[in-house]
Amino acid sequence: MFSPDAIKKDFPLLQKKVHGKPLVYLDNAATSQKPQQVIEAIVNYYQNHNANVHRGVHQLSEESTQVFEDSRKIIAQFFGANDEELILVRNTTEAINGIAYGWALDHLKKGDVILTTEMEHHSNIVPWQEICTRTGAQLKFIPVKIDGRLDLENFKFLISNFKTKLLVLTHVSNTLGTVNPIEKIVSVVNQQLTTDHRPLILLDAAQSAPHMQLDFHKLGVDFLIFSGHKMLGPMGVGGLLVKKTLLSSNEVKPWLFGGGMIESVYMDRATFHEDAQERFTAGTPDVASAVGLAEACRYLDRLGMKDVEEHDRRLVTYALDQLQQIPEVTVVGPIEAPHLSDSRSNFSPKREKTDTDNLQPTTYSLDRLGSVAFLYEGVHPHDVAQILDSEGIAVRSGHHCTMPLHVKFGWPGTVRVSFQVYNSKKDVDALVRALHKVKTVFGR
Amino acid sequence: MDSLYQEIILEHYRHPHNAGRFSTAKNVCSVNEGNVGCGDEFQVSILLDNAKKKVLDIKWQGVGCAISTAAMSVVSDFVKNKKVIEISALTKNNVLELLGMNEITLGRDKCLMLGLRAIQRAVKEVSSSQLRG
Repeated sequence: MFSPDAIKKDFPLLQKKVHGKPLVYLDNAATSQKPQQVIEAIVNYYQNHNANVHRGVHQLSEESTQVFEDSRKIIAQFFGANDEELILVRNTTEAINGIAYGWALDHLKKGDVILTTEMEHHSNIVPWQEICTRTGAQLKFIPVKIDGRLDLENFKFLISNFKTKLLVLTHVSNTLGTVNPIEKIVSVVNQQLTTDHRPLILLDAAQSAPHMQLDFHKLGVDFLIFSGHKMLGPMGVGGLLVKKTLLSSNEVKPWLFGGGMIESVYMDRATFHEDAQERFTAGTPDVASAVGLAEACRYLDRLGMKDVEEHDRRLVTYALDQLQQIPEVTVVGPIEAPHLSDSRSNFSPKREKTDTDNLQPTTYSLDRLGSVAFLYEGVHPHDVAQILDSEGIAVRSGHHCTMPLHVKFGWPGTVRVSFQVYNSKKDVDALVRALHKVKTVFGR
Repeated sequence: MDSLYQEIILEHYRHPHNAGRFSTAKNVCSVNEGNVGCGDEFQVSILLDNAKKKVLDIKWQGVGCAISTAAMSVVSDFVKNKKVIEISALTKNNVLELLGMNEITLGRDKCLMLGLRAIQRAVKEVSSSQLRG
């Protein structure tokens, strides 16, 4: 296992002081800091290889193209995907909109259902509301239970009673920290024989990719999306992985048109590149950011994603323990392992045995990662965050772009701390100390 | 930071003035105003004189942070018996002054301004609308 204190030295910004105090950065679910290696890779690209990619015959253009292609391969490999399945986009939001306009708009009609969950980020709700308005399809929500987990019984009901064409859900909630049981959900979807074709699944991995080893093919989803900047990479680059068959069959179509993605152009028509990654790259790509993201993938690979996940689990567990000792604090999301909090959460009684068997390796660990959000009695989340900031601790407060979830549970907002590889228990201790100051200021 | 949570802010946050609602709807204009992303939302109701030129009384309810609540509290005191035209002319500096502050950080600007924004919207609706009664 790596040492977070040693890792911290790789991140120049973490050496900074805020209000005269050492920065404790706990806003990683919003964006992570970037290691020197990533920053240098970007600088190196601009200093030594910058030229527009593709079709150039001069030396620099070839170098740039090579660097870009290599970066794409590294990023795809990191997710267990083939190079040709990766479409580089700006971020998760753009990836979702890509599927909305490149697939959903053509394939959905009145009577069809898009199934999502109540714990989604706005970016996985609003584009689908728009698609529903335009196509007449309906958006339905899998409810979130009070323990912060999806109501899987309700999910089974929804998917077998409505003509679901697309299931879109997050892997890890950015507010509750819940890790959704994707394996189980995919297996339920695969059993759906009532619709003419199996519903497609879009998995939002924005909050899981930074903390878990993901294998696109093993997950069995059709689309997997992620943002580079939450996993130590630069802002402005993210990815959309699309199952190869959906690309080769042209079921997913380009949603951006122009240079780079064409094969030939005439005054009255154009033909598009046969190669999928070219077809979905209209205009000059952000090569430097792709290079930076590839370097971030290398960095995480060196740490080992199994250890990265274990590190995060330990921090989340420690934070939950510490925060729950503060009487004014109420943590949202799962706080105990599934078998302790709800033995009924695993589908119907007759299938329980199989499910429990499948779950054996993970049953006893808490199904949450990344974020720990909480309420502080009598003090608004903004005020809590402001006081924490005065102690050099960066956290987020508000809705975290999950307004429907907050409204459902009647939370005016929450304070969210979220972790990365460079955080340690000392950061949690600093947080807890600073939370005592909230009481001093507001308890007078 | 400690200068942000001055006693005046904490006092108004703990005991906000003019919180509540009117029992009558006559000459009352109500609007909802919120800060998306914060979860803050206020409903402001203003009671006008018969000529609809002057605010006689004001009530508000809702959830906000210390800054937005305290700002709402002091501004709601200030606008009583003021003319609609005077209220429309109020600015951020007036709110800062009422709270005894010189400035506010960028991130809390919208908290500071939520109350005044709500009141000014209510006032604007009055001048262009059909009030009951």
